[in-house]
Amino acid sequence: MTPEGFIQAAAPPQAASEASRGGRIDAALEWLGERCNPILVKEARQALKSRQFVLTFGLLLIAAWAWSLIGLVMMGSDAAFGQTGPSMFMGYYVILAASLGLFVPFGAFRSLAGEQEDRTYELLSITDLSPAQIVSGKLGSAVVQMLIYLSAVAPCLAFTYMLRGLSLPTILLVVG
Amino acid sequence: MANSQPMIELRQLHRFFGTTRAVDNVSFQVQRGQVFGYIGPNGAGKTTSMRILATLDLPNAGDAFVDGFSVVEDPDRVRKRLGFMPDYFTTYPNIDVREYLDFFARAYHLYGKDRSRAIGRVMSFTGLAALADKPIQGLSKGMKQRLCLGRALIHDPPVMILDEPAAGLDPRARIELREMIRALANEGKAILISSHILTELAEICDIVGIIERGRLIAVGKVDDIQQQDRSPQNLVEVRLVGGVDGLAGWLTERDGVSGIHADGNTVRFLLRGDEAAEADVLREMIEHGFRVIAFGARRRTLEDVFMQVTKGLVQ
Repeated sequence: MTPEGFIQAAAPPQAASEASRGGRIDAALEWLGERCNPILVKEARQALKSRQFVLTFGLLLIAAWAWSLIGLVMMGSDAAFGQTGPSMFMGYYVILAASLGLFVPFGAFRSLAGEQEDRTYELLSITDLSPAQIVSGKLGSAVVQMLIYLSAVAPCLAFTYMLRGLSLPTILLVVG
Repeated sequence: MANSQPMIELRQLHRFFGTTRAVDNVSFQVQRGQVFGYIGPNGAGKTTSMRILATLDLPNAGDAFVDGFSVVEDPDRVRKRLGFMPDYFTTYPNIDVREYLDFFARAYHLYGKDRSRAIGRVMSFTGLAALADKPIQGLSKGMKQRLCLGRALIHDPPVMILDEPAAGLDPRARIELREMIRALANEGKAILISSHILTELAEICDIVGIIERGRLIAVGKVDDIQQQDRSPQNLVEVRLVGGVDGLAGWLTERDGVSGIHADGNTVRFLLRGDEAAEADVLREMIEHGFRVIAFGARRRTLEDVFMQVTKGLVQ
């Protein structure tokens, strides 16, 4: 066997191992998906398709992008040599807080109120779901939405760290 | 459990709202594979009884049982054995047919392949497979009713409670729904169904119960109820060749005939008596020279019985 042939022959076990690892991850994710609270799955699906989410998410991205441009223009050469992280961070924080503190809680409230108003709660109450599962599913869905908004602004927050003046624990503490 | 045990049983059920007796001492049973038609005017107590069976309400006295389990003592076990289709359809925004069924399958703790099989079975049975990815809000009334039935069937319960499932459906959708209900009964499910469309109930129900002002005033097999001869008058329709001149006068002179109405070459009248009396009238008509080309007596329908035993009273 040539050296090339040896390399080629050795490759499949590595590929098989990666495939096996991928398969295990898939299986674990599938298991997790199966055990997720049904309300959480439904609410997350609904929320991601809703006009309110698309609009809020779009506005959040536009606002974060606009603030990045405005902030950079305002900072000028300070961006390269000063400690401008805190002022940029404050702008992103306000943008994020508006989404997380206003739109997500309102969505969760409407979702819970809608169950009573639309009489869908009756059909839920005769399933195997417990009241605790119903409420935790609704709240869990709000948390998932918050994480999505947070992940959208995460690159901007990382950018403020690079502008100096903020430590990583401070960013995590304030956002958390 | 023994097979003879009723799948649905109401035992001296009472439910009061203030001074209103919504359900007043109602008792009946439904066996496996039977379709029980629950009929009565609006406000008679049908929906209240069904909501109690579905564990959405509690009785003031008496009890209701599903597959032997009390709705008062053991509502969790009842819910596992019950599919409930209310008289309204509500859904969630931004959700499609498959997601809706998937959610309820998860809510009944169906996992993995069991859930996929359940969704596939329900979609196939209700004919919704082609609409799996359609948003529910865009479905027609008939398709929404199918989906509602599918939701109630997702955990394959042995007992179905269907409150006005045919309301607002076009004739085709009603016929299709009727066939689905009959197929479910053939699978061995016990079905309690309420409807205002009595002709349809008569065709699919094995047993009928008539309720008015909370009280069950008649219960039995459809044929037995139709043959209860409290007012032995049949509507007779006669068609003649040419005009009907003379026939109305001739009928007026006969005993047991009333309500004569002539229209073109057709005469309708009420005749007191059995089939022999009808045969006698027909024979004498022909002997008197009336040229009869059609003679028919309409049997009492479930609608006639309903109109007779109920008084249209509300509380």
